[in-house]
Amino acid sequence: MSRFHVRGVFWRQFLRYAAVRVPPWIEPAVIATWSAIFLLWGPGRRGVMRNLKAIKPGSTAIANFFRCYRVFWNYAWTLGDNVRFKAIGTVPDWEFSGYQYFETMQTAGSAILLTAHMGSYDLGAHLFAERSGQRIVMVRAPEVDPQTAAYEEKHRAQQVQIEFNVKSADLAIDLLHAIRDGGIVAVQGDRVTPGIADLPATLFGVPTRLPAGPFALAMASHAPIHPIFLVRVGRRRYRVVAFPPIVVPVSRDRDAAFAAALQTWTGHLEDVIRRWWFQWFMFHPL
Amino acid sequence: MRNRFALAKLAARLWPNKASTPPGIDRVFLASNRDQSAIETYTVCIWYCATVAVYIAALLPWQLPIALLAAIPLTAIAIEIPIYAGGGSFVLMLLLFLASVWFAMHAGTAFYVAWFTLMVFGTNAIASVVNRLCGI
Repeated sequence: MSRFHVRGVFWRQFLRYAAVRVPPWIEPAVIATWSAIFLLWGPGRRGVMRNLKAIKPGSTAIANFFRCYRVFWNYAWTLGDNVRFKAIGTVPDWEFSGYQYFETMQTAGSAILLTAHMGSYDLGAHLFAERSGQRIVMVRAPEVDPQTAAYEEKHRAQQVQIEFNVKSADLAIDLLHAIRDGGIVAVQGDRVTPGIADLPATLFGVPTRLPAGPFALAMASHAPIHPIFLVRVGRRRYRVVAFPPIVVPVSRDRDAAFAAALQTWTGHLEDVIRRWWFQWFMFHPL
Repeated sequence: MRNRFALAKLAARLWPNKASTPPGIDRVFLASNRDQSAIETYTVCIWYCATVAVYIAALLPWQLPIALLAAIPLTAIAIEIPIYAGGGSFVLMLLLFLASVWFAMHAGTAFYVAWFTLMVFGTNAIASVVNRLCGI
């Protein structure tokens, strides 16, 4: 893959270069410009616009084009905040909704943190690591470009362990051990990557597939699933939205247990995305 | 302290923010960082970009409305050149100050904008002295 492709390593290097050099007071103008330039990224733009059509039924293409710009604008801010944190340790303000659920997960450990492609994984991990002694294991899709993967690995936050969901059988055992040792496993549950076990679901009336792993892991480990979302609510200000934990009972009827848990999860997911659609960084169509 | 510029620091001390917790929010953790104020950041950014746009428009050989429209994308490029060339906050402000001095000495579209900008620089300098004297 070309280093100048949208997922190529050049843009990560450039972002890091800019994040430490752009004066913070001119950042809005710089981000506005680059968000507009990245609107030229056709597949990403079309993916966001198609998802917006599902989130906002009856919306027009022209309105969704401008909404798409808002998604890109928020994504650029999130990337910038993430890189600035990793490069020079700048942390944002945090506010909490459903703090008691977040606190329960932090103190008890042995949990699955189910989240979506919103906010920043690394900033969130920093927050969790600062407020909890539990080990955090993040599961994420690997970078497509090997150079980008190597670059991200070199610059990742130190507080968390990252596992890539490529070898599901081995990974499942590692994650099970992590939970049994009191760790928290963070998984993004709004998109399924090829080769990963999935479940049929419906999001905004569109039939789709969502990862089965978190629910299977919850049943095997008896650990609760904590739906937690990180939402950027302003400049250098993020909100942690935590919902009551989802328990997946051990049952002979696995499908029914998974379906019930999945329904609760998709309900929370839809609520959060409907409210903060401009924060859902899903560049693939549902 | 969550402000960068002397004028903003002084304003924050004179009129402290009494913002209450938003509805539905249980806890808030605030970061201590001199670039944390969103109001300050957006105000300075809009002021800076608008001023540069007027200066660029004044240099273009067209009528003001058309020149201003053309100046918007040119401003986006112009402000980024010194950044990627290695210039930081000081260099950007210095360039604006020098441009303002030049436009303040020449009659034209940008004359009043330039004087306003120089007044902002002057007021910020006075605020800096006040802050030092008051230990802000």
